[in-house]
Amino acid sequence: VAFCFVCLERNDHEEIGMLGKREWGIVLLAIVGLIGGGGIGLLIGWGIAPVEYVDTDISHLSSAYKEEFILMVGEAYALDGNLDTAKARIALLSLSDPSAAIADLAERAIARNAPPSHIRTLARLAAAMGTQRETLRPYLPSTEGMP
Amino acid sequence: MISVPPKRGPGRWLVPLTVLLTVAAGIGMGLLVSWVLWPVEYVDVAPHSLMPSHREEYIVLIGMSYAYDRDLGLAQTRLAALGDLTTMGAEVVTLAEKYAVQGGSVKQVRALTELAYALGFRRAALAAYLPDAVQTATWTPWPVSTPTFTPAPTSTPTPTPTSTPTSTPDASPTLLTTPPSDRVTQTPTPRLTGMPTPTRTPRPTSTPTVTSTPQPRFEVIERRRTCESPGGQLMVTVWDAEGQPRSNVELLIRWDDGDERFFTGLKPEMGLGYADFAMEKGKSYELVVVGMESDVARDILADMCVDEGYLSSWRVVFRLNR
Repeated sequence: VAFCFVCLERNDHEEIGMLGKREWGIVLLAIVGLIGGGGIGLLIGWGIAPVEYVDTDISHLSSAYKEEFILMVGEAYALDGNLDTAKARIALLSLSDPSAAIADLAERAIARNAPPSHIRTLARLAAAMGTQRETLRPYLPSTEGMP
Repeated sequence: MISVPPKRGPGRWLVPLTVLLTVAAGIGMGLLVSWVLWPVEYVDVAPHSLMPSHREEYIVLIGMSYAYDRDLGLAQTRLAALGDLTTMGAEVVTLAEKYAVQGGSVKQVRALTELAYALGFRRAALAAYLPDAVQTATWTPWPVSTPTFTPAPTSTPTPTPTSTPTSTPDASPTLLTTPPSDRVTQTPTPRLTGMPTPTRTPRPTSTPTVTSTPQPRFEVIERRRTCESPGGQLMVTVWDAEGQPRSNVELLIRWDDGDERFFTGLKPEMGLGYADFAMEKGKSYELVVVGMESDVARDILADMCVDEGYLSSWRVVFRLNR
């Protein structure tokens, strides 16, 4: 930067290629300004005042927490049998096809050898919400199984 | 004499102009990037950043899940994702009180109460929501005694005949997928310091005594709007059964988007049973005594006293009725 100011003060007309020293000084000043400004921005954004997520909603949770949320909804449904409340809670996740997503989760739980109680909870919730799959049938009560 | 004017070439403004333009260009690029190209997206966040209403829903679900599987360790792990466990217990019990006062689902209140008690946070006003085995809490008029923990002698019946809860003994936070990294860091022992151990067995019970006798209850015997100066004051007085002022009584006041607790006796010049709270214009409050059965003083509206030109004040008197 000091070099640029010297260039500008001298108002030299010595040619360096197509541009004079003065013009080169301006270009250099602009580049230094941009880089410096960018650095300040990053310092603020990453160091001094980094982004803090507040007031987010449940649909923004990471996938692991979403799955845990679904499981808890299933357990609450198993406890109170209130399907409307369970649907309203699942709706907070903004899933395109909630019952299929729950059934998928139950199948992944089977694949991962999750506790059978968890699989039963998810399978029952998926069935109650309208998705019944053969793979989940063993985890459903006989009255809720596939026809 | 010919006066030579000072040299005013275009270069005089070049430096500030360059600085100005480059800074403006930098800001413009930054905004282009942050607002258009890659705007902030809330993804993969943890439960601790949830908005209050969703946070409540999450806590309720943790409580109901605990009521279902009786896995206290898992419940603690889930609560730790919402914040420091040392404060989460208080949040759970406060939420249980709120739902109880607002007439929420009994199952939800019961679940939250059981979880709060398991975490060592208990309120006498919530004892009615506990199962019989736990409801044998000693009733000490004031203050409420510290709970003692004894192992629960029997297991809880399964909610449905087909969904037998089987708790994972290690209380692992990972249920179906790899846990988020921040949740892993929330599970170590330092966060659990001072809390009941995450083994599922401790259940809060107290020395068994009478539970069938009617519990003392604070009743609202006066609830009056006034236009006393300086205005905007909620003036509360709490009396005991003999009509004597009662100090150190915790009061909970709620409004649309917040709540606060305060105590009687902090202004002894106004009386030992006195407490006040500064209301905000246009807000409607409800007031309850914490720690005992209590009426709720509702619809305390901080409106304007037209003639006086300042906010109305309210006087509320609670009296213990045995």
